[in-house]
Amino acid sequence: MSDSSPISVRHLTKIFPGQPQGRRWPALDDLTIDVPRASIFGLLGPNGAGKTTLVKLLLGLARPSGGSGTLLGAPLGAVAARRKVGFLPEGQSFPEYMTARQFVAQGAALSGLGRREARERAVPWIEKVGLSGVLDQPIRTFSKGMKQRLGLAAALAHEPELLFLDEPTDGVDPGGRREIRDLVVGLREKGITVFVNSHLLGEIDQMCDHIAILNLGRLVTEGPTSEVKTKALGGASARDRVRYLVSSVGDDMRPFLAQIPGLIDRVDPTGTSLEVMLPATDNAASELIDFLRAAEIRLRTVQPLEASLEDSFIALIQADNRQRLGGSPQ
Amino acid sequence: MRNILLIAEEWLRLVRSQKSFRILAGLSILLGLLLAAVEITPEEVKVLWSFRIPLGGTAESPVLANEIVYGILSFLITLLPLITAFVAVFTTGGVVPEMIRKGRLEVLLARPVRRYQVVLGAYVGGLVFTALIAGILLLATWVGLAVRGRFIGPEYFLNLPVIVAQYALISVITVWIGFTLRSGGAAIVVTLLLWFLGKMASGAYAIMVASKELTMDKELEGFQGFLAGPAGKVVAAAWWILPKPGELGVLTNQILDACLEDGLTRRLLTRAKQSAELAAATPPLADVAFSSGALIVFLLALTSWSLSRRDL
Ligand SMILES: Nc1ncnc2c1ncn2[C@@H]1O[C@H](COP(=O)(O)OP(=O)(O)OP(=O)(O)O)[C@@H](O)[C@H]1O
Ligand SMILES: [Mg+2]
Repeated sequence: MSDSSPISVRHLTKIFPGQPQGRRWPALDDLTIDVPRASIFGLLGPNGAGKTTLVKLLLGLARPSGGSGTLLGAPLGAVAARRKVGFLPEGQSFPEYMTARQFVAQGAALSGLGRREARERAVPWIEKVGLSGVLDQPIRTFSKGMKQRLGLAAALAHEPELLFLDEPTDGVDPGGRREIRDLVVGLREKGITVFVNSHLLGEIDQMCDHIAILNLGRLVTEGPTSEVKTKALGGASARDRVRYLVSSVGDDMRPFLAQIPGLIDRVDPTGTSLEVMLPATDNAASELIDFLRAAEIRLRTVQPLEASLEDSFIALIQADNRQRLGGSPQ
Repeated sequence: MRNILLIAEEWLRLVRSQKSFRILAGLSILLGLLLAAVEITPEEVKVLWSFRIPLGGTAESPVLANEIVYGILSFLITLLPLITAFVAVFTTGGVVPEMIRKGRLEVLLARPVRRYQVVLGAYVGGLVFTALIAGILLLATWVGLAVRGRFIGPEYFLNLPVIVAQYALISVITVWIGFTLRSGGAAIVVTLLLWFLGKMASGAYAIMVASKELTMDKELEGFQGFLAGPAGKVVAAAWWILPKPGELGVLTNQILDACLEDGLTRRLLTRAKQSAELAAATPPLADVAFSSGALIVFLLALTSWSLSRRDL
């Protein structure tokens, strides 16, 4: 399995010499994962979890303090393996005086294409990310979202086997986000492995077939997206529980919450509107409604909600923080 | 090699996009036009067609005219290269930090590019830039002089490699500091400082070397005695270590000699004497070439090594 994984790391650890004060744990701590070929692999985690650090170690931009790994079969840091790798970094800065075409062609040439070939391949990719109108404009005239799209074209023009995207839709408008998402899904169909770092859980949920969650430098959980979502909810399958959004016509429901039959979990932002989690039995909804009506609550709506990746993510991170930081807030 | 050139090309685009490049090229052409506007004969200086300044000489005794021509040529040949290298340092000093600013270097190095290639790319880019700007300057002034019938031998263009060599010696410091401190200002200041120290070491070393072969002024004898002691070792060490583009001036002088015309024979007599003195007081070119080459290789290797050890 690990032989054919485009990315495989074992006990990878990174301690930066100049880490911020008060941070006692390594930026990346004893990480072991394998990324399946032709998957879209999402790496999630709060700010400072070590997501970018992992990408830097994989690309040879920083050196591991411990552990090992391979990138497309070659040991980390091997130059030749990067011919087949594309990278869209977070917060990229561009040579503003170059045009879109020059920039993408230069990148492709540095990745090993012949000059002419690089120039030819640049154009369709720039068109694909929606920048055909500004092919020969200097980058300094581009907006943030246009630059992000350009970065994506530059990461793809040499047709890599493995693509790293660090916050790919940062600064891109909703239409553009969907285009980028569709493009990435299209890449998977061509057999390209995509490794995405993102905060946008909805996006990861829609796009990724595998995810890993990182917190405070350590792997919290990892696996196919549906499994991770389930694991977060206490090991039970998402199918065993249902979440309802309940709202009333101005009545405060909080005093009755504790008595709701079968209640597993709750989120009560206002009192006139709350989320409750119940066992997924056939009559759970009618029992909930009966109970609330008996309490003379005037109900406006009772709406079942799907368990989201966000629920799982927050539950997992909170549990991990409780365990590692002794419940103190981060 | 290909990667080095690709990076040098980006570097050149960056320099070319800066105003200073256009200003420099413009000034060179302006200088060429100025030279084209002036004709110097033994009798007079003719500006354009009608404005004349009498010099009062004749074809047999063209003293003043020769002095003026000599002045122009020695300005073009000995001073301009130095000015060009100086301006090039200012123009290119900020480019390395600009090129490797956060978020740019990562993208370059995430490709199959080795770190030394980025360092060499920046260095080579600077050399090409200087060659370009010096080429424009030499061509413009050469054509300018030729327009009024004063042809200079093709030796004039030997200045190009000399200018580039001088800049190569200076800019290796700019590249080193630029990569290490990531600051254009620091790169320029340190470069100028070491250039200045190198010039002082050169001066003192010349006196040391000359003392063996030439009788010097009385007042220098005390200094020579001083340099015979341990201080001499320090001066010699400084001379070997520091950049000394000025030592290439010997070459410049030879080019000037080659360019001077027959009409300037009278002036040439004094020049010949000056040149001989200068040559005697100059350390062997082989020593200059060796120590300069070693400095360039050492600093480029050091810069590449420290860059390759750094986490981005
Ligand atoms: N060059 C560096 N020197 C010192 N510490 C660093 C360096 N780079 C990252 N760190 C530290 O390592 C930790 C992980 O940072 P990293 O950038 O990997 O987080 P991240 O998960 O990508 O966060 P974000 O979501 O904000 O992008 C942070 O605590 C950060 O301060
Ligand atoms: Mg990050």
